[in-house]
Amino acid sequence: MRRILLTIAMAICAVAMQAQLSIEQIFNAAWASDPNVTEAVVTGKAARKINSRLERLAFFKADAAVYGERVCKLILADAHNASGRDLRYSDGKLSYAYLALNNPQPNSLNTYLYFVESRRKTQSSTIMVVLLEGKLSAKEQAKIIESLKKNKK
Amino acid sequence: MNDTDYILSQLEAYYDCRLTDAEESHLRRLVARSASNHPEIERLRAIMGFRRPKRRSHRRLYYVTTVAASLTLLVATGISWMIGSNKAPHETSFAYSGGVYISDESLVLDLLAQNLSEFGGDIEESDRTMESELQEFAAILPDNINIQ
Repeated sequence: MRRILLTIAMAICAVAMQAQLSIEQIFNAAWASDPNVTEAVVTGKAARKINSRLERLAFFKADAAVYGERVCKLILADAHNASGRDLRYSDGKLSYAYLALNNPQPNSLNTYLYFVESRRKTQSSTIMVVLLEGKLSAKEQAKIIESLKKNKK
Repeated sequence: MNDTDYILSQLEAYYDCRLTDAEESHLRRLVARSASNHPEIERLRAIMGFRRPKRRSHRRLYYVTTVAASLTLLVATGISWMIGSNKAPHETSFAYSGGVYISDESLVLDLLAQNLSEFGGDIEESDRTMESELQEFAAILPDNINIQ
Protein backbone atom coordinates (compact mmCIF):
# COMPACT_ATOMS: atom_id res chain seq x y z
CA MET A 1 0.00 0.00 0.00
CA ARG A 2 2.86 2.34 0.88
CA ARG A 3 4.47 1.59 -2.46
CA ILE A 4 1.29 2.45 -4.34
CA LEU A 5 0.88 5.72 -2.44
CA LEU A 6 4.53 6.58 -3.06
CA THR A 7 4.16 5.88 -6.78
CA ILE A 8 1.04 8.04 -6.96
CA ALA A 9 2.68 10.88 -5.00
CA MET A 10 5.76 10.79 -7.21
CA ALA A 11 3.68 10.80 -10.37
CA ILE A 12 1.59 13.74 -9.12
CA CYS A 13 4.73 15.68 -8.15
CA ALA A 14 6.29 14.98 -11.55
CA VAL A 15 3.17 16.14 -13.38
CA ALA A 16 2.85 19.24 -11.21
CA MET A 17 6.49 20.13 -11.71
CA GLN A 18 6.21 19.64 -15.43
CA ALA A 19 2.98 21.56 -15.84
CA GLN A 20 3.84 24.72 -13.95
CA LEU A 21 6.56 27.20 -14.65
CA SER A 22 8.32 28.61 -11.61
CA ILE A 23 7.62 32.14 -12.83
CA GLU A 24 3.85 31.53 -12.70
CA GLN A 25 3.90 32.40 -9.00
CA ILE A 26 4.57 36.08 -9.71
CA PHE A 27 1.35 36.30 -11.70
CA ASN A 28 -0.91 35.14 -8.89
CA ALA A 29 -1.20 38.58 -7.29
CA ALA A 30 0.95 37.55 -4.32
CA TRP A 31 2.88 40.84 -4.41
CA ALA A 32 0.08 42.95 -5.84
CA SER A 33 -0.55 44.83 -2.59
CA ASP A 34 2.82 46.55 -3.03
CA PRO A 35 2.10 49.94 -4.69
CA ASN A 36 5.38 49.65 -6.63
CA VAL A 37 4.24 46.46 -8.33
CA THR A 38 2.33 46.46 -11.60
CA GLU A 39 0.84 43.22 -12.74
CA ALA A 40 -1.55 42.48 -15.59
CA VAL A 41 -2.88 39.23 -16.98
CA VAL A 42 -5.12 38.87 -20.02
CA THR A 43 -6.22 35.56 -21.43
CA GLY A 44 -8.59 34.27 -24.09
CA LYS A 45 -10.55 36.82 -26.06
CA ALA A 46 -8.78 39.81 -24.53
CA ALA A 47 -5.40 38.33 -25.45
CA ARG A 48 -6.54 37.61 -29.00
CA LYS A 49 -7.25 41.34 -29.40
CA ILE A 50 -3.48 41.81 -29.28
CA ASN A 51 -2.73 38.87 -31.58
CA SER A 52 -5.16 36.30 -32.92
CA ARG A 53 -2.92 33.37 -31.91
CA LEU A 54 -2.09 34.72 -28.47
CA GLU A 55 -3.93 32.98 -25.62
CA ARG A 56 -2.32 34.59 -22.61
CA LEU A 57 -0.26 37.65 -21.96
CA ALA A 58 1.05 38.32 -18.48
CA PHE A 59 3.08 41.31 -17.40
CA PHE A 60 4.93 42.05 -14.18
CA LYS A 61 6.88 45.15 -13.25
CA ALA A 62 8.49 45.85 -9.90
CA ASP A 63 11.36 47.50 -8.11
CA ALA A 64 14.58 45.64 -8.95
CA ALA A 65 16.08 46.20 -5.51
CA VAL A 66 13.14 44.49 -3.81
CA TYR A 67 12.11 41.76 -6.24
CA GLY A 68 15.08 41.42 -8.64
CA GLU A 69 16.84 38.57 -6.92
CA ARG A 70 13.69 36.54 -6.30
CA VAL A 71 12.45 36.90 -9.85
CA CYS A 72 15.88 36.10 -11.32
CA LYS A 73 15.91 32.83 -9.40
CA LEU A 74 12.54 31.87 -10.87
CA ILE A 75 13.65 32.80 -14.39
CA LEU A 76 16.84 30.77 -14.06
CA ALA A 77 14.88 27.80 -12.70
CA ASP A 78 12.68 27.86 -15.80
CA ALA A 79 15.71 28.33 -18.05
CA HIS A 80 16.69 24.72 -17.27
CA ASN A 81 13.59 23.44 -19.06
CA ALA A 82 13.64 25.94 -21.91
CA SER A 83 14.13 24.71 -25.45
CA GLY A 84 15.67 28.06 -26.37
CA ARG A 85 17.27 30.70 -24.18
CA ASP A 86 19.14 33.97 -24.36
CA LEU A 87 20.53 35.08 -21.02
CA ARG A 88 22.50 38.27 -20.66
CA TYR A 89 24.32 39.41 -17.55
CA SER A 90 25.49 42.85 -16.61
CA ASP A 91 27.60 43.64 -13.54
CA GLY A 92 27.27 40.05 -12.44
CA LYS A 93 23.48 40.16 -12.50
CA LEU A 94 20.93 38.86 -14.94
CA SER A 95 19.87 41.85 -17.03
CA TYR A 96 17.97 40.18 -19.87
CA ALA A 97 16.46 36.77 -20.45
CA TYR A 98 14.47 35.24 -23.24
CA LEU A 99 13.17 31.71 -22.80
CA ALA A 100 11.26 29.63 -25.32
CA LEU A 101 9.34 26.79 -23.72
CA ASN A 102 7.99 24.98 -26.72
CA ASN A 103 5.50 22.16 -26.61
CA PRO A 104 6.69 19.36 -28.89
CA GLN A 105 3.15 18.67 -30.11
CA PRO A 106 2.24 20.45 -33.33
CA ASN A 107 -0.32 23.24 -33.10
CA SER A 108 -0.14 23.31 -29.31
CA LEU A 109 0.44 26.15 -26.86
CA ASN A 110 3.97 27.46 -26.60
CA THR A 111 5.26 29.76 -23.89
CA TYR A 112 7.77 32.56 -24.31
CA LEU A 113 9.20 34.41 -21.39
CA TYR A 114 11.06 37.71 -21.31
CA PHE A 115 12.85 39.35 -18.44
CA VAL A 116 14.43 42.79 -18.59
CA GLU A 117 16.02 44.90 -15.94
CA SER A 118 16.01 48.54 -16.88
CA ARG A 119 18.61 50.65 -15.15
CA ARG A 120 17.87 54.31 -15.19
CA LYS A 121 20.07 57.05 -13.86
CA THR A 122 17.22 59.20 -12.64
CA GLN A 123 14.88 56.53 -11.25
CA SER A 124 15.39 53.32 -9.34
CA SER A 125 15.91 50.22 -11.47
CA THR A 126 12.90 48.14 -12.38
CA ILE A 127 12.46 44.60 -13.55
CA MET A 128 9.87 43.55 -16.10
CA VAL A 129 8.66 40.09 -16.95
CA VAL A 130 6.46 39.33 -19.93
CA LEU A 131 4.96 35.94 -20.57
CA LEU A 132 3.41 35.15 -23.94
CA GLU A 133 1.47 31.95 -24.41
CA GLY A 134 -0.35 30.77 -27.47
CA LYS A 135 -0.19 28.73 -30.62
CA LEU A 136 2.67 30.97 -31.58
CA SER A 137 5.88 30.13 -33.35
CA ALA A 138 9.08 31.84 -32.23
CA LYS A 139 8.79 34.12 -35.26
CA GLU A 140 5.22 35.10 -34.43
CA GLN A 141 6.03 35.98 -30.83
CA ALA A 142 9.09 37.93 -32.04
CA LYS A 143 6.74 39.95 -34.26
CA ILE A 144 4.61 40.82 -31.22
CA ILE A 145 7.73 41.98 -29.38
CA GLU A 146 8.85 43.93 -32.46
CA SER A 147 5.48 45.66 -32.57
CA LEU A 148 5.92 46.57 -28.89
CA LYS A 149 9.29 48.14 -29.68
CA LYS A 150 7.68 50.21 -32.44
CA ASN A 151 5.02 51.41 -30.03
CA LYS A 152 7.71 52.89 -27.82
CA LYS A 153 6.95 56.53 -27.26
CA MET B 1 7.06 -47.16 -2.83
CA ASN B 2 5.89 -44.00 -4.47
CA ASP B 3 7.62 -40.61 -4.14
CA THR B 4 5.37 -39.40 -1.33
CA ASP B 5 5.98 -42.53 0.74
CA TYR B 6 9.71 -42.30 0.05
CA ILE B 7 9.83 -38.66 1.13
CA LEU B 8 7.89 -39.44 4.32
CA SER B 9 10.22 -42.30 5.08
CA GLN B 10 13.24 -40.05 4.75
CA LEU B 11 11.85 -37.18 6.83
CA GLU B 12 13.27 -38.22 10.16
CA ALA B 13 16.68 -38.99 8.70
CA TYR B 14 16.67 -35.55 6.99
CA TYR B 15 15.79 -33.71 10.19
CA ASP B 16 18.47 -35.66 12.09
CA CYS B 17 21.04 -34.83 9.37
CA ARG B 18 21.71 -38.50 8.81
CA LEU B 19 21.38 -38.39 5.02
CA THR B 20 24.42 -38.40 2.77
CA ASP B 21 24.87 -35.54 0.34
CA ALA B 22 23.62 -37.69 -2.52
CA GLU B 23 20.56 -38.84 -0.56
CA GLU B 24 19.73 -35.31 0.50
CA SER B 25 20.13 -34.09 -3.05
CA HIS B 26 17.79 -36.84 -4.28
CA LEU B 27 15.27 -35.99 -1.56
CA ARG B 28 15.36 -32.30 -2.49
CA ARG B 29 14.66 -33.15 -6.12
CA LEU B 30 11.71 -35.33 -5.14
CA VAL B 31 10.29 -32.68 -2.81
CA ALA B 32 10.68 -30.02 -5.48
CA ARG B 33 8.73 -31.91 -8.09
CA SER B 34 6.23 -33.61 -5.78
CA ALA B 35 2.62 -32.52 -6.22
CA SER B 36 1.61 -33.92 -2.84
CA ASN B 37 0.01 -31.57 -0.35
CA HIS B 38 0.73 -33.77 2.63
CA PRO B 39 1.31 -31.42 5.60
CA GLU B 40 4.71 -32.95 6.37
CA ILE B 41 5.84 -32.54 2.77
CA GLU B 42 4.51 -28.96 2.71
CA ARG B 43 6.52 -28.27 5.87
CA LEU B 44 9.62 -29.83 4.31
CA ARG B 45 9.11 -27.73 1.18
CA ALA B 46 9.08 -24.59 3.32
CA ILE B 47 12.20 -25.66 5.21
CA MET B 48 14.02 -26.47 1.97
CA GLY B 49 13.02 -23.11 0.58
CA PHE B 50 10.84 -24.43 -2.25
CA ARG B 51 7.71 -22.89 -0.91
CA ARG B 52 7.49 -19.18 -0.28
CA PRO B 53 5.44 -18.05 2.63
CA LYS B 54 1.89 -16.94 1.95
CA ARG B 55 3.15 -13.36 1.56
CA ARG B 56 4.07 -14.27 -1.99
CA SER B 57 0.51 -13.86 -3.16
CA HIS B 58 0.28 -10.51 -1.34
CA ARG B 59 3.49 -9.35 -2.97
CA ARG B 60 2.15 -10.35 -6.32
CA LEU B 61 -1.05 -8.47 -5.57
CA TYR B 62 0.96 -5.39 -4.56
CA TYR B 63 3.04 -5.67 -7.68
CA VAL B 64 0.03 -6.00 -9.96
CA THR B 65 -1.78 -3.14 -8.19
CA THR B 66 1.28 -0.90 -8.34
CA VAL B 67 1.75 -1.57 -12.03
CA ALA B 68 -1.97 -0.99 -12.67
CA ALA B 69 -1.96 2.25 -10.64
CA SER B 70 1.16 3.51 -12.42
CA LEU B 71 -0.28 2.70 -15.84
CA THR B 72 -3.58 4.39 -14.97
CA LEU B 73 -1.70 7.48 -13.82
CA LEU B 74 0.46 7.51 -16.92
CA VAL B 75 -2.58 7.25 -19.18
CA ALA B 76 -4.47 9.92 -17.19
CA THR B 77 -1.42 12.20 -17.23
CA GLY B 78 -0.99 11.69 -20.95
CA ILE B 79 -4.64 12.47 -21.66
CA SER B 80 -4.68 15.54 -19.41
CA TRP B 81 -1.40 16.71 -20.98
CA MET B 82 -2.81 16.29 -24.47
CA ILE B 83 -5.99 18.09 -23.55
CA GLY B 84 -4.17 20.74 -21.52
CA SER B 85 -1.67 21.51 -24.26
CA ASN B 86 -4.45 22.43 -26.66
CA LYS B 87 -6.89 24.00 -24.28
CA ALA B 88 -7.05 27.76 -24.15
CA PRO B 89 -6.67 29.25 -20.69
CA HIS B 90 -9.73 30.59 -18.91
CA GLU B 91 -11.02 33.98 -19.92
CA THR B 92 -9.35 36.35 -17.49
CA SER B 93 -8.49 39.99 -17.52
CA PHE B 94 -7.14 41.69 -14.43
CA ALA B 95 -4.39 44.01 -13.29
CA TYR B 96 -2.89 45.47 -10.17
CA SER B 97 -1.31 48.86 -10.27
CA GLY B 98 -0.30 50.94 -7.28
CA GLY B 99 -1.89 48.32 -5.05
CA VAL B 100 -5.27 48.79 -6.75
CA TYR B 101 -7.15 45.93 -8.40
CA ILE B 102 -8.41 46.63 -11.93
CA SER B 103 -10.93 44.32 -13.54
CA ASP B 104 -12.13 46.49 -16.43
CA GLU B 105 -10.79 44.87 -19.59
CA SER B 106 -10.21 48.11 -21.48
CA LEU B 107 -8.30 49.61 -18.54
CA VAL B 108 -6.22 46.44 -18.25
CA LEU B 109 -5.39 46.59 -21.96
CA ASP B 110 -4.49 50.29 -21.68
CA LEU B 111 -2.22 49.57 -18.74
CA LEU B 112 -0.60 46.74 -20.69
CA ALA B 113 -0.08 48.89 -23.78
CA GLN B 114 1.51 51.64 -21.71
CA ASN B 115 3.87 49.28 -19.89
CA LEU B 116 4.63 47.01 -22.82
CA SER B 117 5.85 49.91 -24.93
CA GLU B 118 8.30 50.68 -22.12
CA PHE B 119 9.22 47.00 -22.05
CA GLY B 120 9.75 47.00 -25.84
CA GLY B 121 12.07 49.96 -25.43
CA ASP B 122 14.06 48.18 -22.74
CA ILE B 123 14.47 45.11 -24.93
CA GLU B 124 15.68 47.32 -27.75
CA GLU B 125 18.15 48.92 -25.34
CA SER B 126 19.39 45.48 -24.27
CA ASP B 127 19.79 44.46 -27.92
CA ARG B 128 21.77 47.63 -28.63
CA THR B 129 24.04 47.02 -25.63
CA MET B 130 24.61 43.43 -26.72
CA GLU B 131 25.37 44.55 -30.26
CA SER B 132 27.84 47.21 -29.18
CA GLU B 133 29.58 44.76 -26.84
CA LEU B 134 29.89 42.25 -29.67
CA GLN B 135 31.29 44.99 -31.89
CA GLU B 136 33.82 45.91 -29.19
CA PHE B 137 34.77 42.26 -28.98
CA ALA B 138 35.09 41.99 -32.76
CA ALA B 139 37.28 45.11 -32.83
CA ILE B 140 39.89 43.63 -30.49
CA LEU B 141 40.17 40.40 -32.45
CA PRO B 142 43.31 40.25 -34.60
CA ASP B 143 42.70 40.68 -38.32
CA ASN B 144 44.46 37.49 -39.39
CA ILE B 145 42.58 34.86 -37.42
CA ASN B 146 43.20 31.52 -39.02
CA ILE B 147 40.10 29.38 -38.64
CA GLN B 148 40.62 25.80 -39.67
